[in-house]
Amino acid sequence: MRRSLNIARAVLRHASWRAALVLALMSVVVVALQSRPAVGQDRNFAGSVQSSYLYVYDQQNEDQDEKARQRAFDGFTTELSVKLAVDFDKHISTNVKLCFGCHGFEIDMAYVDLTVVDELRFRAGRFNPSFGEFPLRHDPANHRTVDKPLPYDMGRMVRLREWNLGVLPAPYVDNGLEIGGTHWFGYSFQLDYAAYAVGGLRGDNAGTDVDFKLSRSGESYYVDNNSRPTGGGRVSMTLDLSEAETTFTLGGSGMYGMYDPAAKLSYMIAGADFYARVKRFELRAEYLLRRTEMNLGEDPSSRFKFGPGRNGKFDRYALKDGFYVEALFPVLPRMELVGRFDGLRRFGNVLSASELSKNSQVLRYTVGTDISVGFGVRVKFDVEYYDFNDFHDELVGTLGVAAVL
Amino acid sequence: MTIDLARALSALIVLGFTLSGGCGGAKPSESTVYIDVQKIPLELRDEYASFAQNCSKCHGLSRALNAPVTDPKHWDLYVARMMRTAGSAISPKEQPVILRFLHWYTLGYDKAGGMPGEASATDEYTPPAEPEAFPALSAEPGAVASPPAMQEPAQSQKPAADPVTHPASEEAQDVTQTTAGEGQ
Repeated sequence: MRRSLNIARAVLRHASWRAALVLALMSVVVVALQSRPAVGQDRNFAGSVQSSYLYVYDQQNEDQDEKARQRAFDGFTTELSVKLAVDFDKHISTNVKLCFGCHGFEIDMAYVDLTVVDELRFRAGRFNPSFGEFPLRHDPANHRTVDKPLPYDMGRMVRLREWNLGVLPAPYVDNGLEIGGTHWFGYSFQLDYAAYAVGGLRGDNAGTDVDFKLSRSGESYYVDNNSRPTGGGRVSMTLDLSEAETTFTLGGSGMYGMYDPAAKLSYMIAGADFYARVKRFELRAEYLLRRTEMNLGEDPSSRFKFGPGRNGKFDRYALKDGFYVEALFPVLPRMELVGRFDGLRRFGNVLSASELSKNSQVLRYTVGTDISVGFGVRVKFDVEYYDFNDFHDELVGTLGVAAVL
Repeated sequence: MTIDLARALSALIVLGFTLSGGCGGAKPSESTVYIDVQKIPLELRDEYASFAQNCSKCHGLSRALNAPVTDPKHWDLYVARMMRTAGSAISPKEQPVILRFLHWYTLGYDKAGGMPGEASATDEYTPPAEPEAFPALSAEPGAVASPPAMQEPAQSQKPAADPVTHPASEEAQDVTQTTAGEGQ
């Protein structure tokens, strides 16, 4: 142990901050693995890892000079998360979660949870603000498909650059304060609610859309870029008919803030979610909508691809919405079939260099299987068909192995 | 658009219901093989069913079953936290039911005797006394919500008589052997 510390000190003196972060992650993993099992009110260690391969069928592309790499992040991707939760007592706990993915190491959680009563709970620090149903299980070991639904896509969709990802890429992590709670009316009806104030999504002053890379990057520091907190919340109602092994959940979410440093460009996101479980059959559906204010600039006619509207003015708003419907069918004790239908739409002007149109649309059909091989390991295989109205259609296959740590 | 979306989606859903009804319409304990059901005492089968139904909505059962928990009191805080997750559908009525199974699983499952069908030890498994209803955190902030201490079962136990034959579970063997970390 002492030798390990000496080595660590020597490395930290000479290495870059990235190497230091790698070392910190390795130390957390080593300590966690050596930790004694959780006993009573103690530490909880949890984690997951998924390694996946995305294959884009290039034969569909008539222009052979454009490789799949230019349209998607094909190839191998690994997503790792490790989480440490400490329960001081039944009212106070802390949670830290470190993630590794396409863009290196990120802090997914670092917050204190204070529960006064079930109906009043505070979360302060860095966390996933309550929005929608899918973010509750965004961890790849928790959902049955290899990738995320299009409204929550964070870089696995085809034409990700042209579309600028989904409506609200998951996980959305931010710094702030959330107040929420849950209340049961009898034993069948659960009401959940949460409201928060966080730093918000980011972009630049001359932007026409949120910059999701900037939003989670530490290069502009993990602070609010315009001193204007973003507010939001979620309310959901759950009907639990345990005798019939049936559960229904209906939720609504909203978020509003400014994304540019001058705090002049607004964004508003609204969502609705639905979940149904009848015995072992599950159905999930969500709809998200984001209205983003754009900076028209000094000369919109040269900046944007399309001219003014019928009123002679350029519309300063762009609308992006998305949906998914996903059904889960257990067919064998260790095997489940997944069917998903999702899509994205974008309405509004685009920059002159954009390949999107004024009304862009993509629909995706996914059929997949999820097989449990034991030891908390799952093998997932999905086939996806993209139907674009601005580009040629795409056929994609993804294979992933996910494990619970 | 190359496919009739409404018909395709409807067919998908109908197929799902058909497959679910044919292969998995029964309770989770009969066809969701995450644990060797034969090792669960008959008097805890409903508790297991409640655990399987409630604790697989957001993640797989392996998160809980693979957790290296040695003190059943740990589950009290853990399940209380899961109850506060939005849409968990784990009611105060279900909480003690789930905890009864988890307490037994922590103390008794690994010590249950033999493979399914094998003759077991002479000691009978003694189920715990009927636990009191656990108050929700808001109902009794000062109370510790936990079931009565479970009696540790015998080193091995006689498999409960079960007219329904359940197939041997490779997953169950995996679960007893794993030492992976616990769920979130």
